[in-house]
Amino acid sequence: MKQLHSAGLLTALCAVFLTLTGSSCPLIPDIEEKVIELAVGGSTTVAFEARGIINEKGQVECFDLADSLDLAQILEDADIDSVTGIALAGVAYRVTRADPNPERTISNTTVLIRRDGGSDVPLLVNFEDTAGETYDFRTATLDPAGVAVVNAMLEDLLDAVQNNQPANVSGCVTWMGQSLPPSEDTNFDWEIRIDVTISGTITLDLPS
Amino acid sequence: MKSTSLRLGAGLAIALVALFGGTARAQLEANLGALADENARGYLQPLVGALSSTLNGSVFQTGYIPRSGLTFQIQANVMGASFDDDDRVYRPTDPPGFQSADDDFLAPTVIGDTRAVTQQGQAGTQLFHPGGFDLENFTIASPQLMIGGILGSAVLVRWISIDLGDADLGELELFGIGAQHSITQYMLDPPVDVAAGVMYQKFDVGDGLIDATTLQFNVTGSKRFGVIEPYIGVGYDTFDMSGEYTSDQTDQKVKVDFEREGNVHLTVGGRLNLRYLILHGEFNAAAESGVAVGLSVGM
Repeated sequence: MKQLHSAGLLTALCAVFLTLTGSSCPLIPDIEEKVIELAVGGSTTVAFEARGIINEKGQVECFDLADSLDLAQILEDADIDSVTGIALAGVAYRVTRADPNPERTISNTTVLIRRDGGSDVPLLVNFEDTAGETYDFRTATLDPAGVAVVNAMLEDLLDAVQNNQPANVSGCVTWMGQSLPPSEDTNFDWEIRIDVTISGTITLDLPS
Repeated sequence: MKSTSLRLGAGLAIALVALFGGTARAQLEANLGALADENARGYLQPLVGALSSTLNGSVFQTGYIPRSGLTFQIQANVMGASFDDDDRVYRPTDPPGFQSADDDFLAPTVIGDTRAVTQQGQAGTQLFHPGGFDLENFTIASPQLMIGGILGSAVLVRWISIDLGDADLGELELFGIGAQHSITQYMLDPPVDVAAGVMYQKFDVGDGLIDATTLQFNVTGSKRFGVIEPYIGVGYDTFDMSGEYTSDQTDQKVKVDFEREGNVHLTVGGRLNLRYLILHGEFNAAAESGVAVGLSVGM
């Protein structure tokens, strides 16, 4: 009997498969150069403490975004050729050390952000949640003014990294609010996490 | 024939390594790091069906298992599956910290469009979702050893291990073991050869990036017409997969477990039985549809 070539068998199989599914043959992939757009993330955390009997609380914590967010390392780890976007993705918060009073709340709280040389603008407003237990990160409600300040700092940070120059992206975060119930000793810790999202491209040889 | 085999072999090696090897694997890890675990599950979901179908293809190719007379075959099998258009996107959920302003947002999966997409959030925030690798098909190759003719039974073993070329990235490894038992030997004057089989396989990429196991139960019927042997298989595949990556936000390891899947697996194929050489090709309808071919040498 006439011997079937494996090439003929393969072609026949692919032809049958193409007919049935209308797609390209999965057994003989073409390799082509593709530009893939990645998304990576980073974050920086600012920690706060609430202590004492006075129920009006406040604290200022200053930061340097270039130190706390190693953008150059993030881009290098992902092998990104070219950055296409950087932005503030959001802010999350959590209580890291619960108050001894399980009924304790952090209330009427505003978190302001200020870039060095600039003015305080609201980042979180009318923030309220329990401080009597620890919990995992929760999404905070943001103010557009504070978001705009962070986005401007991120753009400047990216520019500095790409041009191999020092970045001037430092600032301070201030939280002001109430610890309730009043007239009781407050003792809890909480923090906010500022999440950054970055997109960039890389070129790979991949099957079609 | 030779040029086709070389191109096929080279293409397969490149395809397998290209998707899971070297730089592509590093980019897959980078993309996962930006995703919360729910979204990582959505991003990788197409691989579940693809791996389930391809790993369970080209396992059982005949219902004829001799009762006596030792036989062995060394096989090289190639299994492919095609993705549906629906597999190219998924609906992401908001990770902690991000509040979306668009409830009807779709992001690319690992096989979807290569461009990242931007999801608008509250107060001017944005979240970038990674692009995919724009794949239409998924192909995997595996050698297989079959030893049979012992009381109408055969043992099957699959194994392949590929160094991904970087000490930090680890290996790609596939191991499978199974058995097939002739039902025909218990029948009087059977019209066709029938055998029942089971196959367990484990597929790992890197250091926990992808871990998958699958179990296939199968009944295959075939009939020889000279050197030609058409066959039909009916089976059931179970598939488990998990992924592990490091979150960009928390720097913690995140393990993503996918729901166990079970799918009916139908196979229609044919073999060309030459003296020491067997060629086979088949069409599989399972979690995904696909084709498989193989070349065996032995007795």
